[in-house]
Amino acid sequence: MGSPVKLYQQEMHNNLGFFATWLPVSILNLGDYGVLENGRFRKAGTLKELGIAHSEESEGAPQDMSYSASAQRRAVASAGASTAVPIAKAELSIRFDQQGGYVFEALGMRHVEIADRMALADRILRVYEEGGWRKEWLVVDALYKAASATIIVSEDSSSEIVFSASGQIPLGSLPLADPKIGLSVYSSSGKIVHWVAKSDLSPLYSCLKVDSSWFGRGTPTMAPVRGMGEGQPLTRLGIKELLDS
Amino acid sequence: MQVYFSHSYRDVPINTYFSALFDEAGIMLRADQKTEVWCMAKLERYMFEMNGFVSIIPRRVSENGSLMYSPYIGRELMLARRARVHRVLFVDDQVLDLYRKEFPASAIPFSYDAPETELTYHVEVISQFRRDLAGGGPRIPRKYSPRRATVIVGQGSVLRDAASLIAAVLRKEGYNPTVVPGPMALDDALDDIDAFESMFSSELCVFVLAKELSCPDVLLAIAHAHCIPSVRLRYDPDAKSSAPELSGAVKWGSAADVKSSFGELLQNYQSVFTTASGGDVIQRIATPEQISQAFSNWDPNDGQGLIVYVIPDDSYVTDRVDGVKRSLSNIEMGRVQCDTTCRELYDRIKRDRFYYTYEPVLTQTHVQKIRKPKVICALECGTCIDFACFFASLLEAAHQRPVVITVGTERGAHAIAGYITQNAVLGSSPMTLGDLRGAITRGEIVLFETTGAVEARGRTVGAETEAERKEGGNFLDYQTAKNVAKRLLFRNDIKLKHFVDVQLIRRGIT
Repeated sequence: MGSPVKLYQQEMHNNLGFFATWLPVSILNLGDYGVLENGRFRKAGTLKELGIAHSEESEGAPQDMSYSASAQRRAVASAGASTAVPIAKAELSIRFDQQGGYVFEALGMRHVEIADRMALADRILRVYEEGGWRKEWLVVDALYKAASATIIVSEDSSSEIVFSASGQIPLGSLPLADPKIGLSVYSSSGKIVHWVAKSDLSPLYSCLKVDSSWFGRGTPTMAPVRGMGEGQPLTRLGIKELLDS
Repeated sequence: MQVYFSHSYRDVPINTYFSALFDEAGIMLRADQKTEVWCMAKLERYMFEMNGFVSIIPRRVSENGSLMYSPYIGRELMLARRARVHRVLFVDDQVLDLYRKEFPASAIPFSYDAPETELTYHVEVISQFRRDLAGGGPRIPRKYSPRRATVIVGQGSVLRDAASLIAAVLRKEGYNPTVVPGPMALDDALDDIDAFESMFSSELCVFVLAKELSCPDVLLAIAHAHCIPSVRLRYDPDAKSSAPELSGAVKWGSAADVKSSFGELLQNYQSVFTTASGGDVIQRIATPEQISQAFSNWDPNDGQGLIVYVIPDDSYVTDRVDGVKRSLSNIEMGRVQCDTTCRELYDRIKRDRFYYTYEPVLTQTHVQKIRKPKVICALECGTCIDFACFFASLLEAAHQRPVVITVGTERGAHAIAGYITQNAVLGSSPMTLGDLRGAITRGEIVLFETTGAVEARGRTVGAETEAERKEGGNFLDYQTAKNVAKRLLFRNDIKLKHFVDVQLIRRGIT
């Protein structure tokens, strides 16, 4: 995976502490297991397929999110010549001045996660004992689901994308992820990857794995917090592990 | 024209308002710098050295929500009345309504929320006070020999030895002490004119008294009635605290206790009053100075060094935690239990009504002073880092897994605290801001604005809004304190400086 995408992933992890799904339209669900490969989660299967049941919980109301870096947004109501690409009415120009510059806008973001992770570890270790689990597998334990999202990443150090709307709408103040605006790419310059107003995405996720030292030791028991004892069997993956994959 | 300024340290906006009016009238307010030492002798001394006495008495809200006022201000007012100095009192109108009998009839009410409503009247009263001071004629000063000290000592070798020690400390500080054995009978105490004159002509008296009331206490009563600066040291082998009581008495059980306590009192006694003029100075006066060794230096680059200030076995901490644990004994383990425990601790400390203050001014720029729990309790105030470590102490004592977090913001560094929830799954590499944000979202780490549990009048401390502080009556409720901490951590202008997982550090895992 190219470094612009890594920059985007690093930035999004710093913003929210979750891995940015790549490609953003990849389908991810809680309980998916697999490996990290080249900055992506490669799904090998689902916990349900292995007979590992898990419940899901969600907290808080859906929220809209907007993050960007090295991106200059400009709404233009009439034609002009100041941009690299000619623009027409009801247009929005986003100019990037750095490789890895990005825009992330999402509507109706909802955080969901696996409810009881300790029980999950217990079941995975049982499946391992039965020969059904590989040590290197990870589990997606938390996700952000978006009702709709727009994600744009610049792969060049200088690029621009111009959107036009279906009607006369002041684009500068409206969320780019709103499908009702009817955004379409009018023109672009430089190398840019983009997903505009895509519905039902899982643009962010986090995953964990069983610490290798726990395999072959039988199943864990829940330890009280203060007496952490040998610690707990699950460990969370950091951004470095994603970027180095 | 200098007057003694008796005020509540935590009420900086109110004090600033009144100090400006006195400035305007050409009356210099002189105030005692806040320390953890309550030194009656010093107050008695200044009561006579100043031209008058000004007291600003705002409300305090007690644990059960009822209105009261500072007992220390009450004590100062009593001293002023006994010393018969010119005085003017501005009293919170609600306090005055409730406790009218405790104040002289001349007390002037003011509106706590909007004192400026009666600005014209306040100016008029202060002008009249100025005229009284100017036209009242000088009060006859007590004639005493500077640096002369009289040490009145009760019966028994323990008290005699302590008196010798005190005399030695006084000599070391340049005083000329005379140790006077206390009277053995009541008549002797009443009739001992030599002892009376020795006391009256001394700059300072020190009473080394037995545990039970005895004849030397009569001499203390005489000194008290004449407002002669007096240090009251009462022997009590069962004493649990050596902090000065409201009456000024200091209990001691050993030679080491009495030497240390007296040393602190004498240091405080010798420190001069500060001119209380302007908001910055008023704030500085309210920021405690170091008298005892209770403050410790912390290198702000050393995150792990904060562990020294997380003291779960401190007696104040365990007392508060025991109370909370008793009320939570039937709650099942889990995230709800963690949060309920934290909420209960937060609400318990909130009832102690501590207040937010600045850190002590230091000449060393590479260290910061941190107050330990006992000092916070004694001074009733602290900074964000003091309270973050304090809450970490409480959480650890309550068998939770506390964290202390410091961040750099545009307004400077800030500290908050929280806990790692049961069954949290964290990475093994050092916590980054992104990791922390993810853990907060997943509910694996719960943070709260610890200064929300303490009073911050007329200001914000962390990421809370003025409206949130105001709505909470200068505090924040627990849920708001959590929201505020989360808001802070998700701001795009912050940098994570330290993430201190107390238990990992205690286990040597970093």
